[in-house]
Amino acid sequence: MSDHGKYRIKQLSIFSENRPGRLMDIARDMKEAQVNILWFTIAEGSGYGVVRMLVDKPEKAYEKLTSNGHVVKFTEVVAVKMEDKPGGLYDLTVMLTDAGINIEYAYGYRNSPSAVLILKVEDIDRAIDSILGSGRSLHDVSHFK
Amino acid sequence: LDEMLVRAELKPEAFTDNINRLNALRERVENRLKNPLNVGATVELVEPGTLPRFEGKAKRVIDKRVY
Repeated sequence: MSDHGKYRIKQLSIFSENRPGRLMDIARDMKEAQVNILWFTIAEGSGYGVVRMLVDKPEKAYEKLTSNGHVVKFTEVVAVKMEDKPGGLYDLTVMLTDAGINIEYAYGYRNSPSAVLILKVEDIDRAIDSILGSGRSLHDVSHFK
Repeated sequence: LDEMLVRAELKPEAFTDNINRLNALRERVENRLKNPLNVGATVELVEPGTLPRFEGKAKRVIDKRVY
């Protein structure tokens, strides 16, 4: 499939020491750059964390954060449109399991009236093919602008 | 037994979003330090540019042992 690119969502991953004020620094950068945070979490490492964020202007956020000395990487994820009803996650995971697709991590949020499941997988193109091939839909990058 | 805390700045190119890989990197450095130092070393990854730089004589080791 030639349009994989539009389904590869750029998530920001930021290395952060585990000490007071680090999240505040990141949030200040986003405020100053006028970047809206759509979703974020902090994954806990050993004495540090990795802040993961979806934002409306990833390139602008990246530029601002790196110019202030943060260690930042883009991580590509896919955003699956989910029906907001019981069993939706189960059905999806059955399909992914059957396709041999391993999920590195995932998170979800409600996007009324539906829901969004973000997946980080090893082989993103294969995951895109499998999800679309199963009749499901993905949000493309325009959804996060 | 003495224990030593080693703070190491993470190179941006070594950063990965994968927590397991970051922990493995930290553990690899700990293991590499263990033999030559002969003391247990706990490595803490910190952000680049956050460790103090000194002009003149560097003081990179702080001994907190109580005798």
